[in-house]
Amino acid sequence: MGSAAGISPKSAASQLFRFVLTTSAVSLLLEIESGGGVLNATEKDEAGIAFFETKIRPVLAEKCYECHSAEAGKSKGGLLLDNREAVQSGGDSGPALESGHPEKSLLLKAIAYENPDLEMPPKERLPAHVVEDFRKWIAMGAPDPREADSSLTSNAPQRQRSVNYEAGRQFWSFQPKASPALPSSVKNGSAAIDHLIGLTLQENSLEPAPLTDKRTLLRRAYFDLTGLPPRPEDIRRFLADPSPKAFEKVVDELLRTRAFGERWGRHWLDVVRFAESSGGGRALIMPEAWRFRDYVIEAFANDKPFDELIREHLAGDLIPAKDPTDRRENLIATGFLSLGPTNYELQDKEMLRMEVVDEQLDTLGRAFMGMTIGCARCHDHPFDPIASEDYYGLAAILRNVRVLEYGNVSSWIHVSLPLEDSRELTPEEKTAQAEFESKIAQLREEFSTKTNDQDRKSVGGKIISLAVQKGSPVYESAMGVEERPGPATGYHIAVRGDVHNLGEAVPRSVLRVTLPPGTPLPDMPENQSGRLELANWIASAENPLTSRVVANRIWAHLFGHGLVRSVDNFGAMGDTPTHPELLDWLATHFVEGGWSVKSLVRTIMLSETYQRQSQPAEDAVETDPENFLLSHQNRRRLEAEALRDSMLLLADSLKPIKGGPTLPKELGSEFDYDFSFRGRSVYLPVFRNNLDDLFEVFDFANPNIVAGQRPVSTIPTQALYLMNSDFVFEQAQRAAAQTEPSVESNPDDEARIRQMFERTLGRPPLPGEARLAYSFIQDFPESSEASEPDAWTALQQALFGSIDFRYLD
Amino acid sequence: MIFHGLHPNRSGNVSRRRLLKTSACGFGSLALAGLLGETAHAANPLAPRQPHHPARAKRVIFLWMQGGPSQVDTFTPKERLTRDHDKEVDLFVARTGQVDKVKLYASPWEFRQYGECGQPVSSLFPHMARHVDDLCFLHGMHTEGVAHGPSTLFLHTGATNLIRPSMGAWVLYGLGTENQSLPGFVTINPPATKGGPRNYGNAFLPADFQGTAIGRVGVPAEEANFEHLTNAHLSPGQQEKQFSLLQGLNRQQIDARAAREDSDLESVINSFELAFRMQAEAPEVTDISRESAATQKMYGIGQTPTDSFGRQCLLARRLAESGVRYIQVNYSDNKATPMWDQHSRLKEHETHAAAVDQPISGLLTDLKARGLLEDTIVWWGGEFGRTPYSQGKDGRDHNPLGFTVWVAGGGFRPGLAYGETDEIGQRAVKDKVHMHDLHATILHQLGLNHERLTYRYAGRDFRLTDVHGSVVRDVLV
Repeated sequence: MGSAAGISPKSAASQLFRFVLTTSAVSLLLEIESGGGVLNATEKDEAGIAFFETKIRPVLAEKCYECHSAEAGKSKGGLLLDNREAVQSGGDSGPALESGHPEKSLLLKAIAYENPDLEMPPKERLPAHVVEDFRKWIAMGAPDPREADSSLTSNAPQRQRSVNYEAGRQFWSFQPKASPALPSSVKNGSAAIDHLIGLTLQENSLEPAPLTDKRTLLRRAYFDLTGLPPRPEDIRRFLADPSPKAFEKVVDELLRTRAFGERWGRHWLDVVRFAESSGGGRALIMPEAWRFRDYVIEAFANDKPFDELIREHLAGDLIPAKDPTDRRENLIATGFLSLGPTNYELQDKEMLRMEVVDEQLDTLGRAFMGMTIGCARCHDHPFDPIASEDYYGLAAILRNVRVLEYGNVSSWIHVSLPLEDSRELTPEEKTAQAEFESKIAQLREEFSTKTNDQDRKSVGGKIISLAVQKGSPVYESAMGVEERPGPATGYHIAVRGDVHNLGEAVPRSVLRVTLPPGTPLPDMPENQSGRLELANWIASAENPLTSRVVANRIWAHLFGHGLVRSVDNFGAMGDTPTHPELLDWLATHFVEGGWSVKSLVRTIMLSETYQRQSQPAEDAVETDPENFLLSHQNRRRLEAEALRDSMLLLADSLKPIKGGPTLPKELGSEFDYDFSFRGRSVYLPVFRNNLDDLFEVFDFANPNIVAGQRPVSTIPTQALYLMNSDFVFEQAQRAAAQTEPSVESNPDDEARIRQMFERTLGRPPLPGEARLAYSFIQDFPESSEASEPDAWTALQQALFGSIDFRYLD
Repeated sequence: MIFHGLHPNRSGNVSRRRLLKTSACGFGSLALAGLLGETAHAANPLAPRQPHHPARAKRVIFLWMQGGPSQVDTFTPKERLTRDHDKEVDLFVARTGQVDKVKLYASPWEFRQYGECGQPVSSLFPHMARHVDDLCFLHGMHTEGVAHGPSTLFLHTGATNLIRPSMGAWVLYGLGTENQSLPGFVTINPPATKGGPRNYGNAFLPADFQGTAIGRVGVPAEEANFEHLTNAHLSPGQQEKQFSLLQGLNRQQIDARAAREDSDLESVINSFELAFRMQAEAPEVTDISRESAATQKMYGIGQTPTDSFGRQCLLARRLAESGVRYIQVNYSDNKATPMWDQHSRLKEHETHAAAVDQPISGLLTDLKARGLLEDTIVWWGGEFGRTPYSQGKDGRDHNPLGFTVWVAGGGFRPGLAYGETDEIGQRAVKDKVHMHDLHATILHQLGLNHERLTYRYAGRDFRLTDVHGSVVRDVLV
């Protein structure tokens, strides 16, 4: 582990300890700004001072010092009220008062409870006459003899003003990828993996586990590549193939299937929090979201280079297309930015806009770079070298993009897709389309003339119903984004994340820490949002994060854990890589292979490391119980989809659906959906407030958040589902019927038991299992009802609940 | 060392993992691994746990009045509204975020003072009125969001739009639960809308802590039960056979792998055991026909319009008695304007009051008689209140700026009226209690420090109260 630990886990650890603070303590630390301590002589108006001493100071001391004084050690909102200078200079929201101008003074507005977002003191409104005293005091120039007590202020925690990018770059994940030296005996990628894994095993005196048996390996490969079990004939064929290339052949064959796209596309859909309803209050149906899902499945099935996929996700609409089909894909891909969970009911529309941007940033940060950018929304990132200027520089780019239609209940936008055959429109179609467009233009014009919020919402509602709900009479539409008209601009740092309190202006930017020292920010054109530049920077081979994050996830899908176990967090709060050299090698290999997911999957699967048995040796259990060193494969649990699809497949219930819309057109609400759909799980609608029961209990990815790694829980509701749900019973009944004796085959009970085990578990029964099953069939109590389930159905159902069905060795 | 929650992330013993990773002797140290190689996975995350400080209450029953009952028509009479009924005034309107002209609207109901504390209650709640000396009124509540969706999520999760665990999930995470044959967090007839399952979800907490629904909106209360609890296809005798076959197969499959104990796989066997126990015990707990006729009558069961909510309340008491940690009783529906949401026809508050008044009164009487009120927090309230000005000709709009909730039992000061709204009842102005504060205070009574009840997710320690909230000590005994 010496070399694996070479990326300074100690400094990471000490950093961890230093930041062992609750969030409130952290924010407090960052909130607090010292009040300064320079003595400042002012003319003293005696009457004014007397007024202050009798009317103002007692109120400040009694009602305000608790949160705004050096003595209390608190300066909430960056504001101190215990000395003259601090009052004048104010806090995060600016000066607390403007001498002589009560109406312009924030302090007065706050105590007068003029704005519900800033009511002070927060617990109790001051009596009207006290507010009046403050008004007078400010009008007379706010005389105030108090000076800062430097002995106290020096105790107040200092605000961290800036992020040190240069120091930040020393953290492992921001460093350029290294290329490990490999001995000449290493002839290919798979051998490189085995070599690098072998090194750390050796260092720790561990022997690798033996390669697993062919049956287990085949089942593992089938599930990993397609999410479905091998059929008995697939198993027989593989067992009968003595060629050393037998496994390679299977892998290549499975990589070519659409099922690969369905399986790996779903992995990515977890990361991009795909769903077909908005979540939040109304949980609006997103009837066009399926296009994005199909786009992702196709992308993985066709091995679209991953850097291209990233560019399309972020800026597909800005990329030149070679033909209408290509253009359609590019537009659909930008659905990535718009299909997040959003409470479209939020009435504060400026806040709504920023919430959407925040969600986009959080998602793209973690999805592509393993960075929790969102932490820098209210203050500089407490752990990672991401400053508020980075956050709002990125936010500026996304604020130049239109994703919302404004209304009482707002909406995402739809973009029109070109016709696939790029034919000319008929005259009728042209007229209809022109009419549609002019109606919308008219409404937009009307919208722009409205100043009253209610009127705007009402016109906005009309636009939504026409442009989003009804849509073009000619073109199909997709969820997407478009450039906001007018010149693209930077933005401001929103003080404490409050969009109604804008501070310092910032230019559009990327994460500065990822740029090599001295490199300027990417140039962003004035006539474009900057998304393309953002995408190019994320998808660049030089970005230290992206290729590592993606390669690590691919590894995680094949081993159950990444080399960095916190797959979505490559920051200081995340895990460090167990095999940094291997991670860099994988990332480099991935980029050099043209960002080909399939090629990296293939390389990994052909390594011995992948093919080892999952049963650890005794010494590995003791020294490395969590298998960080990968002396063996990991046993994994089948995900919800694999479980459901396997049952459907064995029951011969799986419908050959290959995409397209799977929501009923007339579906008004996600709660009306009945989940009787019997296609593969990846096509089963994903709603944010209503998931299929099986998904719900078997740890389906939370569609509200980036979920690169699903939780694995073992809870009684899973057992109840397997024992009692209609779905499992129905599939058990149908699967049992598949083994029913027929004219051609008339097996006895033992043979049928064997057949059932082979179909379900991919292996014959163990002797003990066979005995149990046999006596179960013999002793199964008869039911008095006519529609009695037979013993075979009950046996099949038990197999569905058994460990060997639910786990992958 | 690194985790502030009461136990580490259970998808692997992370603290041990970090220790290994950062340990100078790396993986060579047998002693270390031996020391830490305990069966962390097998530990039951729902086992009862020591609170941060001595707890005053053991459990919560939250009676959610969906839609937002009006404070000025129930517990906070405002003379000014009567005096200036229909008068136009300039007020800050939460919905538009600006000052608009609105008309004050008097309450159509009479108020009377009740009990020794003299708390005014309108004629909407004649039954609840008898309990005012047991209730602690918070008249200075305020919250976030103006629409149902955001405010409902805020009420349940402490965030209007972000993805956060629900309060019940936090409580379960902090305290575990006393009865391992029942879920520790149960929500009775929850609505599917306004955030739906997110309001009892675990978000990024482990799934063990999510709420379990009994019934849902639309399912008659007498049919409400846990999902997949009963088998429609096999007879009990058949299922018992099947169960022992299944556990036999599982045992064989574990044994075939290795001789050593495998906690992951053992937990599969345990989950079936627990499910089978639940299947046997839960129906008994949820069967309210075991209660005497007198008790049922007290809850208004068997008569309209109280039957449905009465059943829910009685079920809540049975669950509380059986050791369920957090119980939510939903008076709710799936409509866009849910239940108490009288944007027009304010008089319909009478329908809702009639449906819940006697059942709640029955619940309070029953809990008190059984000594359960001592350590059970009963919390009554909506996601926000309603405006003292009219909407349309006879309705009231949403009002997050000021409203009333009451809390009873669990060490809350009985008979206290805490906080005030302004003279028209719109904005909390005195002894204000933000929803974050209420959350913090309820956690406090359960023995949990809201600043220490944290869970690390995406590199940050999250709390129910985010970076806000303070315990309102003035309302505690």
